[in-house]
Amino acid sequence: MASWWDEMERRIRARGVRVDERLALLALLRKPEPGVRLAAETSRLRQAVEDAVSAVRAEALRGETRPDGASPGPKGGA
Amino acid sequence: MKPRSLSIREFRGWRESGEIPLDRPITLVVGENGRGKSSLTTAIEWCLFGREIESAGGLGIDERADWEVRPREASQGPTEVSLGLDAPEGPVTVVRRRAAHASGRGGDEVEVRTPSGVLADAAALEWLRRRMPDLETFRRAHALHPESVRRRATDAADRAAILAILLGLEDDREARERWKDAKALDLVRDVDLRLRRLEADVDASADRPRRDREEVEKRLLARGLARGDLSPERAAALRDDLTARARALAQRLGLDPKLPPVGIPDSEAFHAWARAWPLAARERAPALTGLQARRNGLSHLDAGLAELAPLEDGLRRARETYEQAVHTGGDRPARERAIVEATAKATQAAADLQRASSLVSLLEDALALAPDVDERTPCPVCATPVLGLRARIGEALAHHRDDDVSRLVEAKAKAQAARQAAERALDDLARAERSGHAAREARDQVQKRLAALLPPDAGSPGVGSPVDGPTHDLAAAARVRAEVLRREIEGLEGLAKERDAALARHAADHDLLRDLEAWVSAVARLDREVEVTRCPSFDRLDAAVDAVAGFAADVESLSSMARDAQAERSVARGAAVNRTLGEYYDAIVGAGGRGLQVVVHATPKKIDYRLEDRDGLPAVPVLNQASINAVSLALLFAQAEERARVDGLSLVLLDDPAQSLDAERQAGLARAIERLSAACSVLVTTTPAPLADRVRDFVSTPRRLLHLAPRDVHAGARVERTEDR
Repeated sequence: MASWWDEMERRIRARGVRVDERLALLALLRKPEPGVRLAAETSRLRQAVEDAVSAVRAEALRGETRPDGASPGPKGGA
Repeated sequence: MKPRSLSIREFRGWRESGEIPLDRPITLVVGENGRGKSSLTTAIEWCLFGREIESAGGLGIDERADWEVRPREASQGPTEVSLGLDAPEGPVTVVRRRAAHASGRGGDEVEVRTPSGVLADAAALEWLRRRMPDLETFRRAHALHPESVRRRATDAADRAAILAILLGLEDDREARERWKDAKALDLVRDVDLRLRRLEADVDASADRPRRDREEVEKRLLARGLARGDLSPERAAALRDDLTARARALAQRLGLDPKLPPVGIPDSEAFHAWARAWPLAARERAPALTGLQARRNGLSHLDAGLAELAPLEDGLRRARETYEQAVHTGGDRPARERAIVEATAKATQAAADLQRASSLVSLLEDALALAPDVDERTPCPVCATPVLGLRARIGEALAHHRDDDVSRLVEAKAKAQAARQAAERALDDLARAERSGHAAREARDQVQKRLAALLPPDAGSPGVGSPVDGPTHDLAAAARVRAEVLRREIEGLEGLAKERDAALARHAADHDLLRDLEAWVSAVARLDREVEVTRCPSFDRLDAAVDAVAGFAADVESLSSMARDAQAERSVARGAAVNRTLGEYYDAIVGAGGRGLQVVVHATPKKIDYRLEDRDGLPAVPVLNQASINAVSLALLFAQAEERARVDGLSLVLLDDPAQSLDAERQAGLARAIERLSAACSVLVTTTPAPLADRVRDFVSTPRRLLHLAPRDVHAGARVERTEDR
């Protein structure tokens, strides 16, 4: 079994893309009850998106923009 | 690790087995049906896995649904199986024990006796978990049961798992299953859907200000505002008007309503105040707090005065009756004197009548004694002879009885009547007095109530004669007070009406203001473009979406890497596995077989394994029962070899593997077992069949035959004879 994990790690490093994230995911799979852990991770990611979408929707409907001068403001008078 | 010995107590067909040696590469258990062959192999599984094998799900054997571990004739002793093993650390014994009436739900007693000590319960289970495969792997790679022999060859999922094990790709396969469980694609689709909904909502919101403006404009124009009035300035002026009018009304009502300052920009606070202000003005205005009390006071005064008038009339009439009675019949002393006088006269008349009556009685007695002759008769009083005494007595009697007594009787009656009349007159006067008292008392009660409603200096009921009227102007004071209250109430009600009108206007203007502000807001929003990317939380959303995309890409990438690795290993291991599998299969079916090999079919998405014959056709669909059993056995033997190589568990249990095989194939099976025994310890059960003979006589591997005795109901199964070869 150990050789399989080593082989996967070697392939992740060889690919050189998002190495840390993929190693972390591999480590997560290696822990007990990986299915539960993966489900928790997907649930966390989904909730983060859902919260951010709700916040952006509320701000957009209020016409709220960043207070950094980026607000488009009126387009040419009432 | 391989088996060394087995000891069974109160398990299925066995009561007390004693130690059964399993230390030869092949152990062949031979016996007719019902002698405990299957119970022996199952006892080993129960020792290793306990309750897991006691249900239909554990080993995938439906017949296990209502399985009983203990023999029905068992003693009170526990069920116990001890399995001796030769482990890397030396001889080890695994013992599983279950009390007579326990079900195993609470856990059996498990103990592992090692050269370095005895492990119990959790430590023993942990030792088993580390050293033994899980039940699923054991079922696929270490045991054959007659109930499930076909499944190994015909169940697609089982076959795929078995082939993966064969190819040494079990880990790849498990990892791919886990990645499927992650449902990364579902997550991506879900997030994509949410983003599209967000986009649609934002697009819809861009059109909302226009609809809002149109709706609110209609309302404002219907209220009489001109289009030129629709402006932020008009809204500000209206807000200031509302505040100013509220301030003026508050002063009139004596209220301190904490009005918002004129021209405040905080719209939320202003509207909160505007909503609360009418309630405060209605419920807490000090100037109007006495209105209801005054209404109540006036109501009581009016009621009292209305009640007092007839009582005064009644009192006046009682007084007039009394005065009239005094005028006509005298006052109380005069009437009392008249009674005394009438009583004296009546007494005198009665005495006179008494005396006259006594005289008449005396004369009647004298008349009775006087002789009834007209001659001189001595007077009974003075003894003087009197001529015609009887006649003279008769004359006197007639005079007194006819004249005096009659007159006196009449006088007495008159005197008595006069006395009764005087008494009635006094009673009449007393009644008039009582009537007067009652009338006055009723009047006084009302007067007291009225007085209580008046200020302290407005007067109080006076004291008069029994039937006299009040000596003060209480009623007049009450009327004056009522008039004052009436004027005050009029004034306060005017103020209340003024307040109500002001509050109605406040409410209408507040509604107007809200519409006007909604119009201003809608116009302002019309002039803005909604750009999600400019929202303050957009960066957070961007990061969350990036995280999802990264996660999905990582899962897909790892899955792809595992698939690549799996494909490479398949190629690397394929030839060796096929050689092993093919050899086992050919050994069993003989030269007439069509061959058996695993073929890997890799696509960009997945890797599939198929069992094919030498011609590259699917092997299973055309096989008969014996060939399917042969495939199943070949798969099992190849896996067992692989497991022994990888995990070091050298054990295969074959429960009646010769079923459906003819003598030739049983001879082939004996050859296959001989080959397998080079890598694994093999425990085979069989009826006295060609397989037993072949194993006994034609196999070169050291082997032991255990012949089981006919089953004794009380003693249970037992080994009758041992034969080492």
